[in-house]
Amino acid sequence: MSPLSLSFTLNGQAVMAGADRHRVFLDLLRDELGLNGPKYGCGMAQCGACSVLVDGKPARACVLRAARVEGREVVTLEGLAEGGKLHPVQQAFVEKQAAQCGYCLNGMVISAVALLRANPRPGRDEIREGMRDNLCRCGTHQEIIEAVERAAELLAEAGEGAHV
Amino acid sequence: MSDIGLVSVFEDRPDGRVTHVQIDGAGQVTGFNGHVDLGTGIETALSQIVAEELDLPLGDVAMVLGDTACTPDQGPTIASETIQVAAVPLRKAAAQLRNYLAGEGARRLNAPADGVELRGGTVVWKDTQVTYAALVAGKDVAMRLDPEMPVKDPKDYRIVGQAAGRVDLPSKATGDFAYIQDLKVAGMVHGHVVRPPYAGRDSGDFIGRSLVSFDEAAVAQMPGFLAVVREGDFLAVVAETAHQAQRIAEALPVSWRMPPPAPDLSDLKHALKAAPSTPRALDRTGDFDAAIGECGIRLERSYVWPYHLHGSIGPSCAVADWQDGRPVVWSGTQNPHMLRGDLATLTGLDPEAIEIRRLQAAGCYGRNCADDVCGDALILARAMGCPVRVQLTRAQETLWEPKGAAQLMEVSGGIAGTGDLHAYALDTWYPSNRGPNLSLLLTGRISPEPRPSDMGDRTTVPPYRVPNKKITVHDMAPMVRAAWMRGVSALPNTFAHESFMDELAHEAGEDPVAFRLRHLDDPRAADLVRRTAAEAGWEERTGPRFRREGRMAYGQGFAYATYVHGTFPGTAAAAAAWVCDVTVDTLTGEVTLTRVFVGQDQGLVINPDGVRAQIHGNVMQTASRTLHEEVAFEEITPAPQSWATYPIQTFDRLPEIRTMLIERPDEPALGVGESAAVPAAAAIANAIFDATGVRLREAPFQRPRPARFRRHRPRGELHRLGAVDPDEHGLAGLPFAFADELLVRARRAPPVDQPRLVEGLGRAVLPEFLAGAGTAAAMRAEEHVGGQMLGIRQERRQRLGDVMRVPAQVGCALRHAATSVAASSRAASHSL
Repeated sequence: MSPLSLSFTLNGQAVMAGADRHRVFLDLLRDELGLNGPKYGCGMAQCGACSVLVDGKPARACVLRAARVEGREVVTLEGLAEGGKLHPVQQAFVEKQAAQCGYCLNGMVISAVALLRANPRPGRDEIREGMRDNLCRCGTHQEIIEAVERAAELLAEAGEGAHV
Repeated sequence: MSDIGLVSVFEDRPDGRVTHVQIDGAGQVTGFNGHVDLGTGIETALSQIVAEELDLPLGDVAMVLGDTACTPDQGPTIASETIQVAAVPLRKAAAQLRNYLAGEGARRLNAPADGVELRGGTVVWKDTQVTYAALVAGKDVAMRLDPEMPVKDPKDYRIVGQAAGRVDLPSKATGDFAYIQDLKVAGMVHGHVVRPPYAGRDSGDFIGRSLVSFDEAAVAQMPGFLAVVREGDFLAVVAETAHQAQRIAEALPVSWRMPPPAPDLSDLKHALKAAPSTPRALDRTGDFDAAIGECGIRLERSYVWPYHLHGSIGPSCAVADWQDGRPVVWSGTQNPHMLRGDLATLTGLDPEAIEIRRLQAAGCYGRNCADDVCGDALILARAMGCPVRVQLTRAQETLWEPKGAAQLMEVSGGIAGTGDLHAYALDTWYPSNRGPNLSLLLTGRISPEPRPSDMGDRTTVPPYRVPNKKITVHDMAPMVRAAWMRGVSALPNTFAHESFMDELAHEAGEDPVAFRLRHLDDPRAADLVRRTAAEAGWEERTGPRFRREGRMAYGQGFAYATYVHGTFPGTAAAAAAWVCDVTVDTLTGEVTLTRVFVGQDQGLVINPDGVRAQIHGNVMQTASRTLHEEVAFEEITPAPQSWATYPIQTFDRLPEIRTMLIERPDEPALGVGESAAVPAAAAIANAIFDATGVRLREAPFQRPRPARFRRHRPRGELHRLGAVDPDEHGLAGLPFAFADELLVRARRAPPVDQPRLVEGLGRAVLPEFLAGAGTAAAMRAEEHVGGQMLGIRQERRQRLGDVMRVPAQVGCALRHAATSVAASSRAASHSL
């Protein structure tokens, strides 16, 4: 159990943390770094509740060894909002009321952010496909799909604004 | 009492004095309710009710839900009764507070008491006004709740009935919201439980007596080790971090006695009927036994419902702090006051000495491990003298959660010469209780005797006019650990009622919706059925329509139910009706639910967005339960430990969902948490019948039957969830049911109808099934229908090539089917 000194970027901040090699990244985030966004759901990368972005791509923190984030840029749910303003995907999820218990919401938002980066104008089938590995037991699927569609609109508006 | 002022409305209840609502000198209003938010948005709806009576913006009302120190004991948050029952005193208390504020305001403004208006936290008269805060500042008033207090006329509602965003959603979307799993208490250490090998079992003399030994010395040097705690079969490791506690627990050498095998649940129908049960007569109107003999059309059917997982996405978690015998337990419980009683039994303390603080958890849909883990944490907190957090693993939650109970329904009924429903008997077996707290069983605080409960009687009486009824629930103890789950017993009972009504309508040659309406006396129910059918585009028919396009068959189904809960005869929650469309792939038996229309009558609607969200969730979750889900059992324990072996609903299975909320603002608000789930299974079964002529009476509809005969279902590697696994889905229940149906119908049909019948069935059948399985059975069937099967048989032979290519497992399934069909065919020939 060799202690490891890790350095990576977490939500824009440089982080140095000690962790043993066996430690999964989710534990480090929740237990050592005080984050609540990523959730423990299954520990087997099946449900998506623990999702984070590593170098802009979604990763399941519950199976990701802490050592794997060395030198990487990690963004969690907490790091999406900027200057107190919700990220357009978060805003869309609130607008469309796309959560019941909300325990899966972290993974849904993270996956939607990644999906819309890769495909800014996804069709409904592409959204279903892009989100299908995230589980929601409350059955909020319809609202979540609507939220992703709405997020695409908001991102497009924001993008157009930026270019003007 | 606040220095800045406080006005409150209280009630003296058997459990002590409780405040329902209060306002402080800063104008902050707080409502208190003993029910909790299970993720359904009840906090928002209750806030709307209080804000409405007080004419406040929604954001000015805070709710405290379920904390035992300050909320009334209103029982568990079950039966969709928060709005319908638990909110009633809250609403009256808010009205009383409004009355007080109006009176004080009028005095302050020198206005007539009935002349002032309340608006946005101020009392207004002409061009003068005073804020609630100013009226309360410096006051210290506690008013006893007046149960006769008039409440606001719904005509004047501005907040109730309007869509309101969930008050907890913005902070959930940013990760700021603290669920029970996120709670950190200063000085807390971490426990990890080591459960016995008899997972998911709760009765038998081995419970609490199976731990032989453990070797603490083997792990005591591991990093972070603090203690091993044992009491009976309760065993846990405590360490400085959760990660350490889990590693030590996994390393701890433990010796357990081998538990006895679990009851054989491979044949649910017979297992449920053979287990001890006590019949309880529920409705004996008329004389069923005589009346059934008078019926020209008579049917006897049985319907089987499987065990399900609640399947919360977040495994249960709790934190407890012993505090020298006045413990505080932070919990995601569904029933704080009931939990407090259990923890009192566990510790020997008075219930009043224990405080439960309730935080939101992942949605639970019934009784999961949320209470068990509180017992775990409290035992450890007592041993350690500091706060202890316990987080269950996915496998622990999945194996040990009290399962949604299996159920068997037998229905017998008939139609008299008049064409009217004349006799109806339902017998229902529900092997479940209220899920005794696991810590009580493991420590031996309560005996592990089988304990029956009485919750199998929900919606047992059909909503239709029948002069002769014989309705019986067979109360029975759980066979494996089981407790309530969404639609508690009413969902399976309605699967039976509403399938049977369809079967009867078909026998009578009537449209299923018209047949129901003809027997529905309650005008509100009839209105719901009529309007749902009309809005959804119900297509009238007098039998299965066999709509086909190539290999695909299309069907539409209807079902209606009023969810009746509580002590029999019970209380009605919202009524819901489904019209749904399915597509059946006749080559694979795969059923796709393509469209669901739900009409619902819930009286006054508090938050239409919240109601629709509940309908959507009920549709998605219950369709998955009906079509795909079943807990399999191994030799000793339930089989699933993760989502790999218990797949739940995914995005690719989302049907088009439309809703129709019937507006009845003058009627009391009814619970909506479960109602839209209740008709689901029957509606889907009825749609499959319309598409294929096949009547499915055993859920789930999409699983190869033989899996149940293999007690262990290895599923190999973790596969992509939601992907179609050919072994799992390659052959659905359809062909089996078809064979039964074929025999039953062919046997009973009058000779003149037989050609038509056989032709119809022939168009609907899955030819390769007949080719593989039907040999013996179909031969016998042919005898019964006078050789009309010949054409089918020829087609079957042509298709034989297809069958040779199906996977070996399917072949095995077909062989099994052939055997059982042949057996039932023999039985059929005897009775002819």
